Order: sequence, then structure tokens, then C-alpha cells
Amino acid sequence: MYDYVKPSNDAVDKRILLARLIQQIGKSGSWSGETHIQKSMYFMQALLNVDTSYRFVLYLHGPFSFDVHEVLTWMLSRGEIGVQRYELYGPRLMLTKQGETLAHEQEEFIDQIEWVSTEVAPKNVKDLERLATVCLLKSDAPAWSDEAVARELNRLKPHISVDDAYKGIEEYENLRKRAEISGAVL
Amino acid sequence: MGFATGDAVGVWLGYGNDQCDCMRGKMLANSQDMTRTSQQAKPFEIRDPVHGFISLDETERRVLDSRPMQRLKHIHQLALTYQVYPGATHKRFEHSLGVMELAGRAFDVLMDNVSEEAGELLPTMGQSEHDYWRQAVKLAALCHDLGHLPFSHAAEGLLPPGWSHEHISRQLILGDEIGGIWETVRPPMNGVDIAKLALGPREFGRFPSLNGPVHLTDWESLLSQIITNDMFGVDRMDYLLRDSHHLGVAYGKFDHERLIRMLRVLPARGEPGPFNIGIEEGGMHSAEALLNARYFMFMQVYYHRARVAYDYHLESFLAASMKESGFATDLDQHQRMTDNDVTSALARSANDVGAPGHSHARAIMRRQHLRLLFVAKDDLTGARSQAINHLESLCVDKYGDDVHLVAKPVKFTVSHAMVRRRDGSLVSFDDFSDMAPARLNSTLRFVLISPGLVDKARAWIDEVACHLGLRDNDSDEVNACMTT
Repeated sequence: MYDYVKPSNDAVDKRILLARLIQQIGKSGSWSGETHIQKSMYFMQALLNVDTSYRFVLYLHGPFSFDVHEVLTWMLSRGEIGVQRYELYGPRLMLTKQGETLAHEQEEFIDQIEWVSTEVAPKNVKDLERLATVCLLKSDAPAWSDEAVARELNRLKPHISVDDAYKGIEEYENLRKRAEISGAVL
Repeated sequence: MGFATGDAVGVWLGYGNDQCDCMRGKMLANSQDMTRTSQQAKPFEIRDPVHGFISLDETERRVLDSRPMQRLKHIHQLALTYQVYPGATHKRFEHSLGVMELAGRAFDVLMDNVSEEAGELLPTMGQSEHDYWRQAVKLAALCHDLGHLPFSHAAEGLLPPGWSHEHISRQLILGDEIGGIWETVRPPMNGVDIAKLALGPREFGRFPSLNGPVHLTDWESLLSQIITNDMFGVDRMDYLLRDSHHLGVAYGKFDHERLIRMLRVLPARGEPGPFNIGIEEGGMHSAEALLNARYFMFMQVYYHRARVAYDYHLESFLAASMKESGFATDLDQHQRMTDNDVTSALARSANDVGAPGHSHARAIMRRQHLRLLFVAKDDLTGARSQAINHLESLCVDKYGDDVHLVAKPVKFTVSHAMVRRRDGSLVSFDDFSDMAPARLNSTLRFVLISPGLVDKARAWIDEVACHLGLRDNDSDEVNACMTT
């Protein structure tokens, strides 16, 4: 009698998708810290409508998926990714040979992976936090005015001033338009 | 259905006596007066085997005396572990008290040592706001486990899709009985604040239907971390210490007093931005000891082979006996259901061949539980992974329904906590730790077999495993992948 459920295809697919994303972020010359990976995955889902089936909640640096974090940790323990540490920039996640093999299995959403790798991943952590949190608030409350979004962002994250929040909203709108023009939105 | 979930169960439980009993200590003298304000009331003290005397104010005592809280006296902290370690009879009630005590201590340390840099981004607070949030953290800690089902996690799979014990905890914190306490205390507490701190961003964010803002502010996130943090959360600290104490094992012990005294509010990435809980360099060894404690407790206790077998029987029994009804999400019914009811149902079913889940009930009640054939890590790759898969299939082919395969996740996530060095600079815990923290993120695959077949099956397994290259005496590495 089988009560044990082997890892589902979904779990395997999640590793493959993440491996391909990390690979592409590296190819685009961006820093592949966890925040960059998390926010790239978030924008793939929130802006490009890729059904990654990850759940994101507002956390320290903006929308964060504990599931993505767990899959990354799992990949680390399986030797599919490794950590390079640089004191000034924090840890960077890199694919190992095993991880590279995994990345090549990803066939879907290549355009979307490439888009976030060039448009989202190169930003610094501070900008990513602001941009992704604006996206989260806009998705939650599409009817909110820019002023309401800016004030809410400042309330939730006091280190982001209202002025900076407005800049984040403007940046988000530009990003959204570029995504639409690129054809990467599903 | 094997046992009642309706009104009859409530009668058995006899909830008419709502007063605390043996745990109360000094509380007994003052238990009748529920109407005094906190200014009038003397603090109550409860003797706790792990933390000594725990003081409660009037509001905390009212929560403690509530029906949802009293129910936790009948929910074992470690389910059926007492079948393996007889001392494991402690309940979620005393764990909740312990978490409250440590949460108060951690809050005081964090707020007494706020740096100028952190202070600029934390809310400006007078004494009353400070007291409000201190109380909110303590109450959240006290309430964080209210939603647990009988035998804690065993029954969680029988809740409707999308439900979890955290979901029920939230409902109870905001429900009539406990929610009523928040409204009547002076100054009044906001139940949503308490639910946010009890559940943290990870779990609270799952309930977007709640009225009002769903997201936690950075301040709320920081406070919730006192309870829920993966590294330094006091929930984890208390359960390791308490489980260790009751089981009589030393694995879960670490210098928690030192660790709590070293907690600090530090920039989450060591640069301007949001803040998180970190530690001073002086707390490094205590923090490393906590990581080790957790690793040892998982390997020696939580995933003990017999405990895994008992969990399997309990989950199977519950699934069989509650196949149609599932577990109630109605709060009143939830409150009526405790370990006592499940234990009674197990005893009845063990004696009734025709009862649903009879074989599992019998296995538990008569200690005829499944035995371990072997356990393998699921993070194997390539040929070894295939060999283990093949071995599992061969076991099933040979022993059929006498073989059961159980998967248990082991999660030791990477730590992003920051450490403030003695020279004032900041570094991540993982970078600074001299000791590589034990990290095992995988699934342990337990292959269990009926007790009467275990000796014969182990002999067979040894032979087959050698043939598959999984039992090479020259290779410790391969042997380490599979143990019996």
C-alpha cells in the first residue's frame, strides 16, 4: 500500500523554473541574490501573468514567497545551486553543473524569464523593494489613487518616504508599459 | 464515523468548570474576581517547570481562563510521542504560557537596546503605546496555538482545503469569547493586531478576506518575528527546551537566557532599510547551540522511527473514522474536540473489528505499530536515487499491503539573520558562524513494515540492497543514505 507520495511534477517544475531564472539572471549580468530572484519571480507572476503557483506576502523587502525560499534552500541542499559570498553585496546564488542541467529542462515561459532578467533583476535591492511593493498595492486595490498608494507604502514601510513612493509608482507604471509593449505579458 | 464530533462530546468534556486548576498556583486565591482593572489587580504567578514563575496580569489571566485556552490542556504538544518517550505528556497549554513569558522577555531586551539608527524608523511611542505593544506581543504569544486540532498536526489534512490550524487560531482570536476580552480591557486591545503578531506575515497573509489591511507593517512584522522567527523566534525556543525537559533528553537544551539577552533590532541586510531581529556577537554560540538543538531534536525525537509509525497510524485512523465529516471548522465544534475524545475513540475502535480504522487503532493501543525497514534521504541524485526508488518498489511487490511508505519533510532554511560584531560592523549569521549550521533540507522516506515481518524483511533487504549497490561496506557515504 503506497501512502508515500513521491515529489510531484509540480515540485520538480518549480526547481526547473527557478534554475532557468537564476541562469538567465546570471547571463544578463545581474546580481543573483535571493531578493533579485524573489522579485523577478514575483513580477513574472504579478505583471506577466505566469502562473508560478507561488504565494507572495508582504515581508521585509516587499513581496516575498516563503515557498520560493524553501525551494531555493532545497536546491542548495541538493547541490543544484551554490552560494558565493561577497561582504559588500551579500550572498549570490549560482547554478552548479547539476543546476545547469536542470535549467535546460525549462521550455516554457522563456520570453518572460528573459524579460524579468533584463528589466527587473538588474535593479538594486532598495529599488526592487519599492517597485514590487507598489505592484502589490496596485494589484490589491486597483482603484486607489497614486496618493493613496504612496501613503500606504510609507505607512507599511516607513523607510520609504512619500516622495520616494511617488517615484516608485512612476517607475512601476513605466515598467508595466514596457512589459505590454514587449509582448511578454500572457 | 468512529467518534462523535457533535454535542455529545462537549458533555463528556464537562466544560462547566471553567476555572484554572492545578497550574494556577497563586492564581487560585484571586480567581473569582474577573472584573478588576489591571491597575487594581496583583499579578498572578504560575509555576512553570522550564521558566520558573510566570507572571500574568488581569488581561492575560482572562485569556488563560477562556474556553479556547483551557482546551489546550487537552492537546498534547507532541501527539503520541508519549508512546515512545513516556515523559512526553506535556500539553500546548504550558507551551503557550512559556512562549508568552519568553516573548515578554525578548520584547524588553529588544526595546531596551534600540540603536539610534533603528529608533528613527520605529514608531515614536510614549509609555502607553510601548505598554500596548508589549501586551499585544505577549497576548499573541499566549494565543498562537489556539487553533490546534486534536493531537496537533495529525488531523490537519482532514480540514477543508485552504484551512489550517493558523486559520482557526485567527478565528478564535477574533471570535466572540476572546475577541470580547480585547474590547473590555482598559485600554482596549485590537484583536487584529494580536492575530497579526500571533500568525506573522507568512500565515496572516493567507487570509485576504479579513476586513481591514491584510499586510503587516514593518513594525508589526518585527514584533511578530519575536514569536515566529525561523532563527530566534521564542515559539521555537520554548518547544525545544520544553520538549527536551519533559522527554528527559538533553538534545534540545541551549543557553536561551544568554541568547535572548543578545537579541537586537538590526537592519535586515546590514544596510539602511527594514529591520529584523538579529544578535550581538556575544550570542553567536547560543544561537549555534539552538540550531544544533533543533537538528538533534528532529533526528532523535520528532522523526524517531516509532513516533513516525504512530503518527502514520493516528493519521490513518482519523482519516478512516472521519472519512465523510472531516474536521469541523465551526468554532464551537472545534472547541469540543480534544485528544481525550480521539483517545476514547481509539480505545473503542481497537476493540471493535468492524469499526472504521480498527487496525490502526489496535496498532496504537496494543503497541503493534509498524516497524522501520529502512529510511532514505530524498535529496539523492542519479543512480542512488533510482536504486532507492527501485528498492521501494521491490518491497511493495514482495510485501504488498504490509509495507507502508511515509514521507517526512526536514527543513532547515538558510539564515539571513544579522550579527553585530564587537567593532559595530554587521555581518550575516551564515557568514560569521564558525560552525557550519546543520542544514538538511530534504524528505526522509521511511519504509515501514508490519511487526511480524520485520526480521525476515530486514534480512531480505540487506541482500537486495547489496545487489543494488546500496550496501557497500567500503563506502560510508552510500551507507549513510540508507539506514535500518
